[in-house]
Amino acid sequence: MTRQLFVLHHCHRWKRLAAVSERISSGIATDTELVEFPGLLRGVSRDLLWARQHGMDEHLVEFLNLCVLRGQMVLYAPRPWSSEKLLHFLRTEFPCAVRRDALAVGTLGIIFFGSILCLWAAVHTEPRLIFSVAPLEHVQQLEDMYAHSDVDMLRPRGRESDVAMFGYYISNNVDIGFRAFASGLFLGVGTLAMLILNGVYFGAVAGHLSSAGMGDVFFPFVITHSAPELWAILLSSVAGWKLGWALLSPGPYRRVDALRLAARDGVTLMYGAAGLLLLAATIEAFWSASPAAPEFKYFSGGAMWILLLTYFIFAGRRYAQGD
Amino acid sequence: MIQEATPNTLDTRVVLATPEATTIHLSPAGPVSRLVAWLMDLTIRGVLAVLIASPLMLLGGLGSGMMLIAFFVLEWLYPVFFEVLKQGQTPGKQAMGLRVVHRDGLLVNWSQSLLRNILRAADFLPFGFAAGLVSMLLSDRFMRLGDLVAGTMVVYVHGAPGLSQPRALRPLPLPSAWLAHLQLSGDEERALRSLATRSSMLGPERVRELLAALAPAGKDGRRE
Repeated sequence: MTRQLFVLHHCHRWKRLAAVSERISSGIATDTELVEFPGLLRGVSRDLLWARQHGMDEHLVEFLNLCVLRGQMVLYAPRPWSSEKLLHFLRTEFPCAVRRDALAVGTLGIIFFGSILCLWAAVHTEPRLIFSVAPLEHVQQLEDMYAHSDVDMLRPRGRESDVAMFGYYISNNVDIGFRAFASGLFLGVGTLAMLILNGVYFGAVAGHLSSAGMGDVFFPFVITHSAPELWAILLSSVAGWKLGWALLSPGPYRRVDALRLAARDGVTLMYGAAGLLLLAATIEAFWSASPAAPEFKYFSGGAMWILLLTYFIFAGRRYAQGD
Repeated sequence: MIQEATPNTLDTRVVLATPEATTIHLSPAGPVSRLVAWLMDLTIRGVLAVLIASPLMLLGGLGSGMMLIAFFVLEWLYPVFFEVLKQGQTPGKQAMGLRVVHRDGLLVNWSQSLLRNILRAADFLPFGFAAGLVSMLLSDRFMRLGDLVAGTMVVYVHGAPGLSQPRALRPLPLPSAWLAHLQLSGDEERALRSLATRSSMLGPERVRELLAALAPAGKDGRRE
């Protein structure tokens, strides 16, 4: 069969495949077109094979190459996102992913919460240590924020600044979480460093404010949103650490494959961490600074911690047992 | 599903086998075109940032909160939306004729796109995308660190510049009977046909020169 005959005979099929692929990917294909599509794809694939084997020119071969590629992309298009997927993620995938890496969560958790508690105790007993952690003006800023028992100082301009703080917390904290994850690629060194530095900072601030007598303003403020925020930082660091660990100890896999497997779990953890940070920012902007009584806030803070711990320990277990 | 077909050669073409017993060829894009696309996207992001910030600055606290979130989204999530919803092409990549695909040639999903874009922060270290550049040069498919981990690559949408659909379907200035008579091998025939499609773009001297390389078959081939 000559080239010209080949083109004349089959070009209607190629054009039809291109048109149907476009319609399917736009979501407007009719049922007859959907039924027609696999046959068209197989036919054009055969034409591509014929064209390659019979020395057809680049133009024709490349054109058919693109037709087939486009058809394959449509055939294997990623399934769209649905609310069912979100529910499944929250109820099962996320808590199971956290428990799968219980060892890393535990180890990094001890490092993180340990450094918070150590610095808290250290700065509480030796207040001048705060200046090894933060510069003078930053410490003064903190003291100004929490000095007054008149809680309105935390919200100078009312509702408007809540949204401003919400925006700030989201952009700042999620950025930190993403960087903690990304720096895991360098053998986890950056991730560990960020984790320890954050823990040191939080502990030092807590210690300084409690030793300076501002604890009764500071702790009700942070207690509620600290749960999701600290857990989010911890989980981003676990995800980053998994990347580094995949490079250091890939087990039976090639390092590239170990990285890819670790990244799959890591993305689940990052989705969850981002959700927790969204929750923390919402609480921090709209609840923590509200003029509610401290007892109320301690209660909500305690409840949040217990809620999160229960969630991570118990959620999704029925599925894991093969429901 | 699509799998890699042949072992790596010196060529940068990626050959993927489909279940329909044919192969698809893709050309991964190198650092230069990707850098230009990234710079274009950077400019677009800058313009968007200015457009978003100007009205919001007048809204006080509410505006500044939304501005911060908008800047965050522009920095981390701008490429993700385009890669998943616009078939792998951000505006910059579209201008350069590039597309982000999975390493089996198919479109990326949310997780893969998020992964490769979050890890761009690692590619940037220690400065000026050095880690990403080194990774691209060492990989056989020009994968930067984010691509390696997410299993994606950036390919040219069209195999080479100048290959177009109307040309593909037009008849060649080459009598087929004469071609059959010559009994060339598959590669030679493809070379001759490709020369025929390009002959209108090249001068006659050049066509003669190229035909001579196909000697002896080209000796009497001075068809147009």
